[in-house]
Amino acid sequence: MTTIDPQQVQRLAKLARLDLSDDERARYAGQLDTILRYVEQLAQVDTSDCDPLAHPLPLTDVLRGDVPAPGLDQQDALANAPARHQGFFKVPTVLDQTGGA
Amino acid sequence: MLEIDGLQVEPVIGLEIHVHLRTRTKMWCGCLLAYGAEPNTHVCPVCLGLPGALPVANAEAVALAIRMGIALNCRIAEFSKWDRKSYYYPDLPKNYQISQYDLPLCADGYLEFPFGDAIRKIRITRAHLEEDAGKNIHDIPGLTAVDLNRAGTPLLEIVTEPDLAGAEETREFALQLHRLVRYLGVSDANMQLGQMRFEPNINVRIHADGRVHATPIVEVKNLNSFRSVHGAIDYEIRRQVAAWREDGQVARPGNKANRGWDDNREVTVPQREKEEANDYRYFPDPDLVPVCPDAAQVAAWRLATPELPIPRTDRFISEYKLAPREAPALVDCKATADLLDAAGEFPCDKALLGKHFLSFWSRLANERETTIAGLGVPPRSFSELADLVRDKVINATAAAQIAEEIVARIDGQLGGTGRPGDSDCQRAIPPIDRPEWAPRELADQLGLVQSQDADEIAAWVAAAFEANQKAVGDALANPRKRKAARGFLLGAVMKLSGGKADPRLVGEQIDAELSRRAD
Ligand SMILES: [Zn+2]
Repeated sequence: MTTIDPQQVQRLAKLARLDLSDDERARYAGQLDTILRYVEQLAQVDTSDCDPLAHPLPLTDVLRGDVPAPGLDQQDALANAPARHQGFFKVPTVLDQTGGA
Repeated sequence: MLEIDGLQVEPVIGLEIHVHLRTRTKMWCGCLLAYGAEPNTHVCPVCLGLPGALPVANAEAVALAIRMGIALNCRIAEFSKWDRKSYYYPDLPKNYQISQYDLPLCADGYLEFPFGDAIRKIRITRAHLEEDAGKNIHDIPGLTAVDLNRAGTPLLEIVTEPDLAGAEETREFALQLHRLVRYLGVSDANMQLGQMRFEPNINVRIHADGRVHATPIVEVKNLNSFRSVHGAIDYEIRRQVAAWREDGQVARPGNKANRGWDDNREVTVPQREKEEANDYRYFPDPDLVPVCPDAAQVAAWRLATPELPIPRTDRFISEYKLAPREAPALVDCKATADLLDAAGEFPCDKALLGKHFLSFWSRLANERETTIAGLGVPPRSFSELADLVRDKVINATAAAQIAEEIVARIDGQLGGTGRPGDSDCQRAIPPIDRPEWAPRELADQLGLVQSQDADEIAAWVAAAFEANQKAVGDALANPRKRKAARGFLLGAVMKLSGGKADPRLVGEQIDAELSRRAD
């Protein structure tokens, strides 16, 4: 049923900021296709009597109090950063300046 | 409906509002919220998005979101969940934002507010919880620097239906929301700190040739002042009408555009679209279990919702006889509004009480960079002081002097610390109540009890007439200067009396003396 083509792989790669070669695109298209076919077996199950499942665990309301906890100091926070600049993470220049959520 | 260049134009505006919640810690971890701290000093594996770190939702953020939802007349979800919104950007270390997609905490509400002569009712589509991103710093040449202190700050996103019909109305709505979140203590909503941001969705319906032409929708991103909300909408309305004349384009799926606001040039500018940015691939976050707000708790919050700013303003205007323009100043700081009501519980002249709050009590608070609730004056002292003035035991000047003395004595007790800041509209300090600092006591101690003694006042009047012959002459003979000269004489008597004379009696005696001399 499902067929993932190299164009779709390219689109996904772009969203994930992955730089793939033509060979990789073709290979991953095949692999993703296999995975999706496997998962697609679930579509055969009749779920008309089932409620949508928001989470596999039978738990709700796991919350924490608004209580401060120690974090990392700046040195540790930046320890794994490939590049840093005066306490900041340093990344290649971003042109689009629309930060924020 | 507006008329622009001979066209009938109907603006259609919806608003998205992002508000930082007033918690101590972040949404998913125990890092403190810190504004203006050294970069990357309030971070941990969770908010840095390090592999294996697991988020746990902040109960206080959930509570604040629901309390805001109640104030916005929303339906509070019985079952709510968390979803991942995927996008790839340096200020978002996980490469997804945890948000709420199809089951927000709050939905289907409205906010009513007075605008012009009408009450406007703006429907609220939803209010959901999510997290803020970090900050990209662009002003260093050749690089983008990332500070993740802000990453994970609890953020409430409120979305309205497109019910707003103009720039002025939208600004007023934004102001009312700002007022409400601060009043409820849901957010400090400091605009300079980016704690409240607005994103209007704007288009116009142009009525022409017997048809309605709806222009493509524009979303203006990240407005952080009321002025820019107004400016951006006003500009967009005109720009869209002009663009429609030019190219005739109308709204259709896929042609919504994002624009930014240039504060200096006061124009909106096209934004480079993030490629495939709208492909957020939402899916339920497996790291977080759903939230089912407890019905009894929600009912308790509903009951505990205070009288809201808009009805309270109306009540203050009628109860304390405040001018409509001045009333919001006493309502917006909830702690001060509560204090005024507490003082008003004691039988007293409420109009005088309100007047005193707006005049010398406000001034004394401002001088200390705090609120009236931050002064530490017992509620009874406010009403007692108002009554001393009403009963003419002291005059208005003496009342201000006594207020000053009370606050100075509290200053001495506090040693200059412990008062909330002037933007903290939640906190009152415990009043310092000493019988010897009661207004009536102080009136005696400071010798400010008004003189009603006619003989004593007559002596002051005689002395003032003696010392100010020219003013007496003007008052008698120069009609153009009569009023000013009389005022001058009144001032002279008050000065001679050390502020103790009852100005009304003084006025009467001056008038009597003048007419005697005129005869
Ligand atoms: Zn953290």
